Formats: sequence, structure tokens, C-alpha cells
Amino acid sequence: MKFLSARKAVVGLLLVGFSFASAWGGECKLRAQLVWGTDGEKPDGKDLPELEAKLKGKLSHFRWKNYWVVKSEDTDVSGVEAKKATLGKCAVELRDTGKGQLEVKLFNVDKDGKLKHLRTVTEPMEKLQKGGTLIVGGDSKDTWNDAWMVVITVAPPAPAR
Amino acid sequence: MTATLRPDYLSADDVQLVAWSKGGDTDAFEQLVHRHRDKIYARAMIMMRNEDEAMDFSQEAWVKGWQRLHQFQGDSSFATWMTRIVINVCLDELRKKKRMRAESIEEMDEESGGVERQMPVQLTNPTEGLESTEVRKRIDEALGKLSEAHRTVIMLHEFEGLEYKDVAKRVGISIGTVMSRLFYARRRLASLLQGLKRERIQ
Amino acid sequence: MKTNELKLELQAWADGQLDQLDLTPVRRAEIERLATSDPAARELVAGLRAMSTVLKANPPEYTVPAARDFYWSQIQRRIDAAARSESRVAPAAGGGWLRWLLPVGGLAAVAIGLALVRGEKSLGQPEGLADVGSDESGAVVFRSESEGVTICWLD
Repeated sequence: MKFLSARKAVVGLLLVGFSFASAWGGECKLRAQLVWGTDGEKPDGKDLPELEAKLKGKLSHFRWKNYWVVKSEDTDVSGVEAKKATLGKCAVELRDTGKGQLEVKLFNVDKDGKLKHLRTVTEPMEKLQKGGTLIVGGDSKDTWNDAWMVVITVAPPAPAR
Repeated sequence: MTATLRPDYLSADDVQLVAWSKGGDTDAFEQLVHRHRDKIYARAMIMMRNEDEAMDFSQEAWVKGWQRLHQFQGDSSFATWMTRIVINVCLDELRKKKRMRAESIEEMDEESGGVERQMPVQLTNPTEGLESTEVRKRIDEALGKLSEAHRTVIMLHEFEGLEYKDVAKRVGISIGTVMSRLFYARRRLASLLQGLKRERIQ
Repeated sequence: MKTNELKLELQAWADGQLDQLDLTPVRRAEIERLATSDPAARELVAGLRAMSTVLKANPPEYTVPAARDFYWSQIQRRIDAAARSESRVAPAAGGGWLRWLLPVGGLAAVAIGLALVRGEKSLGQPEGLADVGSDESGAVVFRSESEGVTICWLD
């Protein structure tokens, strides 16, 4: 299964968390996960974890049997600068527009590591803050009926020490 | 006054008809349609196995052919170019209907080998002794017993002459899947044709 | 070495497609040796080639079940209709439930639970998931307020 080449079409997200930061005491972490949707087994025999059940429920509108997490990264997006997170062959950048919107920029990372902007989406920050989920995805260009998705949520709090 | 001579569409070759068509001559394009319509329709019938759909999609393919004439550069014959279009139209429709996906579980069983994988290879020509029209009819019947996924790879590799990688790209599957589907389809067709042959003799 | 893999590699050799596989030179040489000298492999190759030869020489033939004029008139009507629709403004995103039928596996896979008939508008939007439209790049955005989910699906 050539999901790796399909990851070329994966997104770069811009993460922003200024208003999140104030609500969360200065630190705002978002989690971006690159997920592979398929009816088949794990791609290329890799040992990938399944997407957690709660998020899998958010994908109930889709009918794939399996959702494998290819890469997951938590990023502190407090501050006004765009923060970048790397999801394998995807890059994620987030930015606060200053108008209550989270601006998400999608990038394709080519084999030379260059970022190619694909598109920009926006999401009200409040929705994420209240437990919402932003999903940006597309069909795999190489594998019939498989798809890639970048799932963005607020990262769960770190366990107390 | 000198009468305007009507182009001789009947004796013009495809290259000339395409050139005229590119200039907006719909009569020239109609001659191309008439010349190749059976082949294009046949491709659609092989894939869709339904007369109404084959009529619908073959016509849709001709419309696309007209719209995309400027893209035809003569790298292949016009007929080959049109067959590629009608196959793509049919593949798009099959994807929409998700038939391939619905059959995926069955295919996985087939691709794991099934009974045919264990059968001895038939060296004899299963169509030996049959007339050409009968051969084509038998093959068509046998193709109808394959799944759409297997029929598609046979169509693209055997009838259209596409290499494995081009079949894979066109269908959106891996080369490995092309190979396994092709292997199964050939063995299944051979066994079907053998069976049909025995039926005829009896 | 898995038997199944070997059979597929022998098939590739028979089809002249071995160079499309990612094989080491050693493996490639082994396939070629088997294909030409091993009795079972030669039998397999011969059988596959025989079937391929028969198929290539006998593609099914059909005749369009319509008179020439009628068949062409239908095509011409479609050409004219397509030309007219190209000059119209693109339909508003809000009325675009036909997007569910786009040849996009992801969108097609969405369990909308509606009986959509080709060419007709849908009966209604699935509960909770609203099509908020698409932008000029063709991506489609859906949102479910109750679930707190926003889905942006790219072309």
C-alpha cells in the first residue's frame, strides 16, 4: 500500500493558540495527527497504533473500517508566531488571525523538504477549545478507497506527576 | 457561382477527419463516431455488462472526445484515444457506484488464490476448434462471470495493451494488486472456457 | 520464497513486465532461470501466455443497438447541452448535495444514509452534518454542530 506517497498530499496546518493560551494559563497545546483511513491492514506492515475510540467516533460519517495513526505531534501554540509541527512528510503550521479564528495552512512536503502550500482553512478557535475536531483530508491518489486525514484537537493535559 | 464542395468524409482517413473536427466540423466528427462507435460501445459493454449503461457511457465518451479534441496530438490512433476515454468514463462510474468496493471482500478471497490457483495449468487452447465469432462470444460470456475489478485489469492489460504500472495508475491500485488480479482472472477465464468447451462438445 | 509471489513474478516475466518490479539482480536472474528451465515454471508461463494470446486476439465485439442518425443525434444533443451549461454560472455551494456523488472516494464513503438517485437532488441533508459549501479550489467543507466536527475534504 503506497500510503507514503499519498502523504505527499497531506496538509500543513497552522496552529495558533493565543486566546487558548490565555484561557489555559499561558500554554496552549494542540494535537495534530496524521491518520490513514482504510479497509485494509496497516500500510506496509508498519506497526501503527489505532486511532483512539473517541476520535474514531468523530469519523463515524466515514465508512472505513480502520484508522491508523501515522504520526502524532503536540505543539504549544501560545504566542503569535506560527508554530510548525512535522507529521512525517507533512508540515503543520497554525496562526491566530486575531479575530477568533484559527488559520490552518496546508502544505505538501516534497522529497527535497520544500513546503508547497496547498490551501488554507479556518476554524473558530472556540470550537476546538470546547472539544471540537477539525479534520482535513483527501483521497489517496495511489491506493483505491484509502484516504489520509489530519485530525486536529486540543491535546489532552499532561498526566500529573 | 462555384458550388462549395462537400468534403469527402467517407474516404478521408481519421487524421483528416480529426483535423476537420478540430475546426468545428461536426459532420467530420460524426463520421468518426460512425466509424468507431461499435468499438467504443463494445468497451463500455465489456466493463458495464449493461446495454443501457453502455449506450449512456459510450455517448458520454464521445462528448468528452469532442470537448477534448484539442488534446489529441496523434500520439496514438484516434480509436485508441477514444477507448481510453470510454474506459475512464466507465471506471469513474464504477467508483461512484462503489461496486468495486462492495466486491473487495470477495476479491480478497479470490486474490488469495481460491480454487483456480490450485488447478493445473491448461496448456491446450481452450478455444481450439471454435470459429472466431464463437470464440469471442465464449470469451465475452466468461468475462461476464468475473468481478468488475478483474474484468477491468483484463480489459486494460490484454485488450488495451497497458503495462502493469499504467493499469495500476488508471485503476488506483498497486502493481502487486494488478498482478494478482491478472493472475486470477486469467486462470479463472481459462477454467471457464474449458468448461464452456466441454459443454459445447457434449 | 512464497509460492504465490513466485507465480506472480513468473507471470510478470511472461508478460515482459519484470522490470516494473523492484527485484534484486539475483532475484531477477532466478526468475529468468526458472522460467526457462524449470518444468513447472515453464508450464505455468506457457499457460498464462496461451490465455493472454487468446484474449488479445479475441476481444468481444458489440454493435451499437441504435441507428446511426439516432445515436449521433443523442451525442449531438449532449454536446449542445454541455456547451450551454459551460456558459452558465457555477451552481451555488448551498445547493450542492450532488457533491456527495462526486467521484471522490472519501466523500462517497461518507455514510449519509440517503437514497440518492443519479442526476436528482437529494431528499435532504443528513441530520447534523451540513454542507457549508466549497471554495474555488473545489474542496468541500462539512460541519456538524452537535458533534463539534468540521471536515474539509480536498479534491
